[in-house]
Amino acid sequence: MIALLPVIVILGSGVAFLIASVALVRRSERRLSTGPDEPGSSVAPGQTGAPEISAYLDRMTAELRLPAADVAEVRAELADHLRDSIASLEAEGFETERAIREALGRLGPPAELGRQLRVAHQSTRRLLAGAGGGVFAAGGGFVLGYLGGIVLAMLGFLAVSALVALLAAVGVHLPGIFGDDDGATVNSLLYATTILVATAVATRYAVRTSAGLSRRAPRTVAVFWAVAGALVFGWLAIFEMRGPQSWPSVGLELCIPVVAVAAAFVRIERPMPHVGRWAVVVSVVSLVVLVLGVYAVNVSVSSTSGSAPLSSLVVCSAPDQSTSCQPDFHLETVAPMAPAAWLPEGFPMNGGSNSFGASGASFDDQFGSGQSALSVAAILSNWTDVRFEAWHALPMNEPGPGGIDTRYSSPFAVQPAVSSGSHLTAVFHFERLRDASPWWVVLTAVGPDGHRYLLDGGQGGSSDFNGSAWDWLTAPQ
Amino acid sequence: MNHGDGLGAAPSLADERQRVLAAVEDLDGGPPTGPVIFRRMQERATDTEAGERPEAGPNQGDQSLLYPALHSLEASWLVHATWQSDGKGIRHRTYRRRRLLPRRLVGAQRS
Repeated sequence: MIALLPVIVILGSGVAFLIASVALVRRSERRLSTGPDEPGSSVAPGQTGAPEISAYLDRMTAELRLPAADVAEVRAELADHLRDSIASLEAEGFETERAIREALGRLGPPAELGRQLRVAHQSTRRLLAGAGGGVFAAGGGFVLGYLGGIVLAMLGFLAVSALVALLAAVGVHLPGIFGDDDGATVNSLLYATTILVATAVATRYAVRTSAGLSRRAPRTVAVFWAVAGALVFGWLAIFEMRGPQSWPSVGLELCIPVVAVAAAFVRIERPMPHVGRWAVVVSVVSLVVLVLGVYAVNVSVSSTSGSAPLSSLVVCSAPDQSTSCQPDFHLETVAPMAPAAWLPEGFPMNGGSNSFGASGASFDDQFGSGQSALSVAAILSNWTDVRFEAWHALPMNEPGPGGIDTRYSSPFAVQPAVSSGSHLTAVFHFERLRDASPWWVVLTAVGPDGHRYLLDGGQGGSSDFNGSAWDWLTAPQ
Repeated sequence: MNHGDGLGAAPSLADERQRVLAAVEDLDGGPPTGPVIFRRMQERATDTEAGERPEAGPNQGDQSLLYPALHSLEASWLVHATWQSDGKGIRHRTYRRRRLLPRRLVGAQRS
C-alpha cells in the first residue's frame, strides 16, 4: 500500500489538474459566448426611447470589442441606467423627448464611452491572468488531447484495417505501404497522431481561455499563442519527445508548428465543443487506466530485465565443426571461421550476454577455460582489430532459422571490442538507427595472416527506433 | 453633453475612480446600482460643511466616466459586481466593495 502511495498522489494530482483546467476553460467559454447568465435583451421593445437607446448602444458596442458576455452585460446595464435616468428626468419635469436626449447626452459620445469601457475591461491584471490561464489550460488541453488522440488514432487504425480487410474480401489487394517492420510504422503513426491532436487541442484551449480571462477577442490573442504554440510544441515534438518513428510519422511531426498556427486561427471565434460531465469522467478513467497500465508494464519489465544467457548464442570453434553451428545462420557471409590452430585452449567462449536499456544494446562475451577465466589479452595476443559487427538479419517472424541477411555484404555498425579482464564488451545504439532491425551481432578479429576471421557466431535480435523526429532525420542510416 | 458646466474641471478617470470607490463604500449597506452610486457622488460633492472647500466632484450630470470607472474598479478587483432582480423581476447590476475579510470581521477589528 505504501509503495502505491506515490502513484496515488501522482494520479490524484493529475486528475485535480485536469478538472481545474477543464473548469477554467468552461468559465472562459461562458464569457466568450452568451451563456445562461446572459442578462437578457438590453432594451425592452416597450421601453421609453427604445429606438434612440438601441441606436446609441449599437454605436457604443461597435467600439467595445469585448467578449460576447461582456458586451451583453454592458448593454443591459446601460439600458437599465438609461431607463432609470429618463424616469428621473421626467419626474423633474422634462418632456419625454428632451429627457431621452439629456439622459443619452450625460453618458457622452457613444464611441468614446465604448472605448473607455474597453480600456477599463482590458486591464493589465486581466492580461496577466489570461496569460497564466492560457498556459494552465494548454497543459490540461495537451493531456486531454493526448488521451483523445489515442482514442482517435485507434479508431482510425481500426477503420483503415476494416477497410483493407473489406477490399481484400472483394479481391482488391492494396500495396503494403507500411512494409515489413513488425508494426513499427503503424506504432509511429499512432504516436504522431496523438501528438498532433494534443497540440491542436492545447493551442485552442490556450487561445480561448486567455481571450476569456483577458477580455480580448480570440483572434487578438491568437497571434501570441500561434507563435508560442508553434515554438513550444514544435520543439517538443521534433527534438524532445521520443518514441517510435518512421518517415510518415516524422512528416506528421514536422507539421506540428503548422497545426499549432492553424488551431490558433481557424474558426477560433466558434465556441469549443462542450466538455460535458461524461467527457470528463471518461477522460479521467482513461488516464487512470493508462497510468496503471504503464505502471503494470514497468513492474513486469523490471522484474524480468537484466542480463540473461543468450539462448541462441552459437559458438563455432573450428570451420570443420559445422554441425555445432546448426542451424545455419549464414555466418560465412561475415568471414571464415577462425582456424582452431590459431586459438588457444581457452577458446571458445564460455558464453555471452546482452542487455538492453536507455544507453543502447550492450554485448558482453566472456572467455574462459574450465573453472578459471582467462585474460582476453593472453588469449588474443596474436589477433588484432577485435571488434563486434552488427549485420542486417532475416526477419525473426518468418519461418526458418533466421540468421544474417545474405543480401548485405558489410555490417551496418561496428564497435571495437573493449577488453575488461576475461570479458569483451561493446555497446550498440540500435534504437538510434533507422532500419537497423532485425540485427545480428558477431565478434571478428584480424588473424596473424592479415585476414579477418569470425571468433563468435554472436546472436540476433530486434530493436525498433526510439527517439525524436530530429534523431530520425540525423540518424546515420 | 454636459462637459464643462457645473463644478470643477473635466475629470480624469483616476479621479473618477476615487470618487466612485468612496461612494460605493458609503453605500455598502445595500448593493447599489450605477444610478444610485452617481447620486451619492453628487451628494458627496455638494454635502460639504460651511467654510470647507467643496469636494472636487463630477460636473453636474456628467456620467461619461461613471461606468468606465466602475468597470475599471471591478477589473482591479476593488469592487464586485452582481446581477440582482428587483420586485418587478427587472435585473440590475449592483456593486459592492470587495474585501478580503467579511464585513463583520472588519468592523470588529475597527472597533
